[in-house]
Amino acid sequence: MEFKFSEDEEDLRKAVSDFAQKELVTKKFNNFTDFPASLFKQMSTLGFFSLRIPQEYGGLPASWVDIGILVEEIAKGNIDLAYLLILSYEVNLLLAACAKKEIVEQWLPDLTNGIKLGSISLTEPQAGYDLGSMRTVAVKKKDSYVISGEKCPVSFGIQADFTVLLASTASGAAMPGITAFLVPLNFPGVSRSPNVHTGLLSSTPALITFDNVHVPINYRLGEEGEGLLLNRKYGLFSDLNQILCALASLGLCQVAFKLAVSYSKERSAFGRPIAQFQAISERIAENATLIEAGRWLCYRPLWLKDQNLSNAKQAAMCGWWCTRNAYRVIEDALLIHGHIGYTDDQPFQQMLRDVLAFEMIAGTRQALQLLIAEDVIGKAAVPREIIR
Amino acid sequence: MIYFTEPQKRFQKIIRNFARNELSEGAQERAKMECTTQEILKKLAQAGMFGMTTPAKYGGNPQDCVSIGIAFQEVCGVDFSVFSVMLSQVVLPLLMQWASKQVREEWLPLMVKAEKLGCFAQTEPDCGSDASAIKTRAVRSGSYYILNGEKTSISAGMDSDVALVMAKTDPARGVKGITCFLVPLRIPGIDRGRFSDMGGIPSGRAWITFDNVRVPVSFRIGGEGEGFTKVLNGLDFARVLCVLTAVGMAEQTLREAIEYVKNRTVFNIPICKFEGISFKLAEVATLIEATKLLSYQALKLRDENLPHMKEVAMAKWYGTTSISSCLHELLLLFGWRGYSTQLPVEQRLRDALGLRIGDGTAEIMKLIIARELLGKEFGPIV
Repeated sequence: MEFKFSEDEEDLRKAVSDFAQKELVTKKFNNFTDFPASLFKQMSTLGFFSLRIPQEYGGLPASWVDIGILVEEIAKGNIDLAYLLILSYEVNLLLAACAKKEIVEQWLPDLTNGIKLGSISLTEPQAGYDLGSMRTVAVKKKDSYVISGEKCPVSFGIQADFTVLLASTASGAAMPGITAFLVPLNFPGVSRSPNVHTGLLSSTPALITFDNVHVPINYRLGEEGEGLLLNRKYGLFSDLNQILCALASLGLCQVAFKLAVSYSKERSAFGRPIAQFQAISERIAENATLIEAGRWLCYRPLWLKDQNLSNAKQAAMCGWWCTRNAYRVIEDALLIHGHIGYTDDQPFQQMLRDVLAFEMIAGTRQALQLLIAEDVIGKAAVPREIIR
Repeated sequence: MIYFTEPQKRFQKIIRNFARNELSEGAQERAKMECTTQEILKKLAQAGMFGMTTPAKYGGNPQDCVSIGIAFQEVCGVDFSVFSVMLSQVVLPLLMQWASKQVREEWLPLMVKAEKLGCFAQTEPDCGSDASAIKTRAVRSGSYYILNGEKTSISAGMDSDVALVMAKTDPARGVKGITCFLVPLRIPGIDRGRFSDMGGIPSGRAWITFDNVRVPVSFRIGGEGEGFTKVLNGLDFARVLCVLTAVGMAEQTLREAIEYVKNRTVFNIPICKFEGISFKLAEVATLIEATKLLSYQALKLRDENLPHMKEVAMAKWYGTTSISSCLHELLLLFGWRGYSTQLPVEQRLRDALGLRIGDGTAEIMKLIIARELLGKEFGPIV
């Protein structure tokens, strides 16, 4: 047993951290258009979008632990970009694994070069966890699918060039069920409108409507009826999504935590630094514990994944526990700063609004805890009303 | 267990109807505006919402403390934008009791009608919880005091016409050297600016600077050195009203969440059929109820002129912390809808966080409780 990062992993952390501190922390990005093309170019040059993509498409080998390190360090610089990277890995890996060769060749180089951006269209106004009840349909007609429906919220949906869409192919398909497609968002029949959220402001979630959108058959990802499986393997219900959302939250809360530690030494009350009051120092101690435990909780299932071992339970644990703790750490940092922490001049209020998103993006607490319970208790733990 | 009296129940019914009929529409938009509109102020004044601490001879409609708590829970819970302007009436009893006749007759009738608004200025950049450390100075010069200093984090500071300012007249005497003044804010030497906050936006939290501001001696409230003790009493009241406002917000959100979970389905059944959802609501309702009991207990003690500082402190830290976590949980129940700005929950979560800090942090509340439990000799080191 060895609880440490390898030298290569430490080097990677340092390189990403240097980039994040130099290029992200010092600049102010309020919305997506504030990210210059040169930044994406730089990130792609550093290989940030290429990890684990086959080398024939310009990819770079990397372990899952490497990807975790990258997301954690980027989150310390800019949480929106960390989220963009998480989605990129999901989209890129799904494409590399499941798209037809010509589609991969057409899209993947631009994705790894940071020129194009993908998104995932999964949930609908009436279908979240219960994806089987989705109403978006894809009907096969000759050599294309005709897609109609509504997806919301789609992160980066306003800026994305295409979306990985899940639709029901229940009628008239060889394999009834949910199927995944790559849908370029400039296709006729696609319209999108922004949905304003309280945090992750650069991710401009969209409501995307598909009105008889014709998608050629070769844009299908995987086989008919494989949609939910692919989503669990690569997409928003994947172990990777759960762990990376947890690491992004932990990265963000470490920034808040560090500021709270400094402030506790600078701010005085009753003639002494507030760090000397146990009401403050104990919270800092508690939060340090949550961060330390959370980080190891995240890196272990990534390591398990690297060993091709099952990690479903551990990943689900990261998803609910670390995101919740990250919220608490940031909230404490804000409160330790008192009324000053409450203003927009300090980063805490936006961090708190940002981190809240990961409690949902990683999967709802109820869904994740059910996964854990199922692993611990067995099938007996699944209420009979739940159909998978 | 606190039972409301018949008159209190009638009052609650009237105020609840008033709030839900007159204030719920547009409340979500007003929560993001930078001030309270004249129209809303007038509506509240007509409903008697500014005169609850003032005798009829000044135009008020006095209520007991429990009823005032009810009003805050019902009104500010539905429309948080009016909280800070309504809260300023807690200092009016100080004016009635200690201000000169001239000041009372000039200001009280106007404040009761919300034609003039007031605020309370104690916190300074270098001192929040530790009131004895304030640096603002008031130096007597003939029939005036000359004020210099900076106050910060003043709720309703931007919209107020007058402030109750704590200043040191005798710096050598610590809290016993603090004197209280009523300072009209539209006189020379005063500057102020707005904080840009994550919540409580209509409160117009402000900093105010005093540069050789001349305040007539008749505007001193009470004697020199009496400021701190007099104001402390009003602070206790304000703290409970903060908590009941938070309770009102959480109750409103709980009602909305109950509607939502009955209508939202998974696998063709309402999500509230799952314990992961329904028990969460049960927990939230329990925390709200516990907070209410603590708060009304404190107000009842206050009505009976019994000691209630410890009970107030318990309600303040436990209540605002609990409500904040209730709103967090309720937001998550709404999923991404709760996260969007279309629903009022995210703003309420941000507003409620401010109530944890304003008028006394959890640490100060626990300090008060611990001192009462242990006695001054064994109390925490400060």
